[in-house]
Amino acid sequence: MITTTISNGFHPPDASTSVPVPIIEAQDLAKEFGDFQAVKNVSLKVGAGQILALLGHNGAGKTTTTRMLAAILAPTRGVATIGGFDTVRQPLEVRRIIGHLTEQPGLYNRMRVLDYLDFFGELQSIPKNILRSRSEELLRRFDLWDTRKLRMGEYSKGMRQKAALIRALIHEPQVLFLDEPTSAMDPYSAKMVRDAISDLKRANRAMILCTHNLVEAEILADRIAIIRKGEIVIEGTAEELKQKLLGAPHYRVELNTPMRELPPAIQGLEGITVLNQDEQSFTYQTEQPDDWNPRLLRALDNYGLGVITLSQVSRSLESVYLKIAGTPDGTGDSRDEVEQAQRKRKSTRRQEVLK
Amino acid sequence: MSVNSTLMAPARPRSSFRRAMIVTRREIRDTLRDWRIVTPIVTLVVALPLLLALVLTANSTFLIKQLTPETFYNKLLPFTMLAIGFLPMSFCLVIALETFVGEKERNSLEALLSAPLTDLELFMGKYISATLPTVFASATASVTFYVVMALSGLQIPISAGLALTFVGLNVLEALVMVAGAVLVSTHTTSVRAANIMASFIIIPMSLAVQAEAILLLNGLNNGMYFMLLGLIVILLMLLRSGVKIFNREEIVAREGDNVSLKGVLSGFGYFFKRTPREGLTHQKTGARWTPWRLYRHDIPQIIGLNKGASALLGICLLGAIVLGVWLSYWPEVQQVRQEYNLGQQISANQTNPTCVLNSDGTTLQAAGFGAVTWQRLFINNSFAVVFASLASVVTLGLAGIAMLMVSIGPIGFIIGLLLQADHNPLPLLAGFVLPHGIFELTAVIIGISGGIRMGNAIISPPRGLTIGQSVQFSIINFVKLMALVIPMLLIAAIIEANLTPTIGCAITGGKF
Repeated sequence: MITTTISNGFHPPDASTSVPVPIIEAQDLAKEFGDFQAVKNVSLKVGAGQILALLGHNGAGKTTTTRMLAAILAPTRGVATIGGFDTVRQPLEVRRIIGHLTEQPGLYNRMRVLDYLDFFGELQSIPKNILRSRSEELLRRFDLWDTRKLRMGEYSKGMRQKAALIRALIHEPQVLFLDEPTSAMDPYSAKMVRDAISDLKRANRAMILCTHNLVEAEILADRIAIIRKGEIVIEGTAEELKQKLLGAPHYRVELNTPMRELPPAIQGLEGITVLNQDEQSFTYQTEQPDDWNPRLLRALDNYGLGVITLSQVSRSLESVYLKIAGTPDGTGDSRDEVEQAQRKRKSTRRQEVLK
Repeated sequence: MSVNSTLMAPARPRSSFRRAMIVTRREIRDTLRDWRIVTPIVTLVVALPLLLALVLTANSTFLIKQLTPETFYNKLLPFTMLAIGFLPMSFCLVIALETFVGEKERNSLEALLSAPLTDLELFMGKYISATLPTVFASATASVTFYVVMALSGLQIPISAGLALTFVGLNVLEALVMVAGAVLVSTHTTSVRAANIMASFIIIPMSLAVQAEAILLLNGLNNGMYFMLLGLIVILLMLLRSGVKIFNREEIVAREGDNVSLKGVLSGFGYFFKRTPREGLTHQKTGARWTPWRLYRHDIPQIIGLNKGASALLGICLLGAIVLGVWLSYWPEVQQVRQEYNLGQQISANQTNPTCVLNSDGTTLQAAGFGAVTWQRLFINNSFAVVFASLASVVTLGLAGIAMLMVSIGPIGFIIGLLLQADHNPLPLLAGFVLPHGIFELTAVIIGISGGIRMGNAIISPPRGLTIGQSVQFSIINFVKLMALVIPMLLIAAIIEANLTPTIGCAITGGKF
């Protein structure tokens, strides 16, 4: 379990409160490089003990957003505060309470991991004795203790990633920006890192997780924001996103008796839409499963149709992501489809008016 | 929460030397672990001084015979010591490029940028780490050479002052090279590209060393102090720009070394379409570009931005006049004045050759300036302003200032001569300088201030602009300024050729 000692005089609020006080807060954040708008009006809030996953194609604006939040880049417009500190006016205070796992591990190849952690620990003004014990604890936790005498240039990609993650955690930051934390890791190490992230979440850390691993995002994140061409196009819990983008949940019923067709009374249940059926099973959709699933079971029982299983059809976050983020060049996504539909409607209306 | 952070000036956090030293220690340790750097430095510090000392000792009799004892002891040995001190210095450039660009290339910089360090601490930490090992190596090499020579029975007759000058020169050269390397580093994203650009530092530094050699071998040891002074000035300028340019924004935002003509042209278009204020804050274009907007908004804003450079030029202009007056009092000038009886001629109420008196001696006609037409004046002045401005770009503004002072200095000189002849210089100035000078001098100051800003664009880019954008911004501003300067020079030329002689003769009565 990762320690939860609070350093730097910062005390994160209790995550058990129903509406956590935002630790990471950005309002209308924008970044322009000359004519190029890398980030447009990004607003987000992350409370203590919460994880926000930022999803998006390469170049969508995730890294620029985290760089602005980490007080590395100044926003062209907008404001961001981390733990109440303004990223533009109080950058040092911000950098003291954040841990930033960058896109590339970027280690010093000629250094040993303990010296590396000493260096960053000293920059964070951690007393030497605490620093040593903390380094050992983290290195043991991430299975790097036995390789501490190797130069980091000799490390594998996964080991490098873990060393970089330990560097981001060495000062026990209250806020974490994790850019692809499990990239290049074997499944065992990836699980180890995910467990560590979950522990940090329980220890009330506020985190932003940039990832292309949608399963990981779904497992770890409380909320997911999809960023496209510098804009957050949708944000919510994984379930909310699926609901919004893919419609009401789907359920599959497996029956113990073969049947040619579903009885009309069942097909006629107003809260249920049957999507497809075969001899011994059928799939349906309902907006209010709490209400309609029991009714359906009762109706099936009345017709003497025994139910072996009733299960929710799992829908992947990938479908949501592809639907909203589309292709990297921005074609073929739902936003374009919506825009096309709007254009078509306008044109039809214009023709009707002309007639 | 306010939504426009650009309106809030970011507070500058206090920098600590202790934190900078943490970076320095790590960098030095890293450098000393790199055999590609350590091996040549050790060779230059130990092997080369030993080898040279042995060669010089073994051949001393022959060399003294060939070069004379004076040249051997007082010139060759001190110069060898200076050169031995300089050679390890050249490695500071390699270390600096590794430290600044290498870190960027290896992607380890972003982690450091996320640490609680100010830009200045990071700059100082890296700057010191790049210079300290080589300064130490340089001193060791010189001392090794001196000691080995002394042990061989050949004492180098070097005064403490000269030895200190050598140390000063070597240290300053190292500091200048590292400061130059910072500038190079901000323009590149790979060590390879930085090494190519480093020739811009190596060539001037090797020229400086050659100049030192010439001074030393010719016994002009005092010239070394001027070299020191020159290096200090260059160092201060480079440091100023280095500190300004070395910021997270510039480092992180630059991600490629590619040159795109389309990109460059679009950059020029970007700043041309916007008013300077919009360009500086990356705002969208407000009013469409029109000649009216150019004269109503763009040019006044540029003049406002260049007010520092204009003030400097104004001071230099007054300085040139004072300098001219001062020169006129030089004994050498007095001698010439007496030789040609200049004071007598002026005080004898001689007629100004520019003016022609009528036969009655009262009515006055202006003879003009002979073959000088307004077209010639206009072309000459326009060329001078453009040339001075462009020369300012490569001389950090010095050429523009020098050209202005050289053209204004003679006015001061004439004032001085008139004062010495007990004549009031004001009518002459009011008649022969003021009518066209109002336009000409104003245009020259406005124009050259644009040139100085172009020269300053690399050293001191405005906040929010990259170096490239800063250069484009200053060029476009200069071009826009020309829309005011050229017409003003045209007006000045017409007045100077056609009205100034008449006004001048009328005010002065045709006399000096």
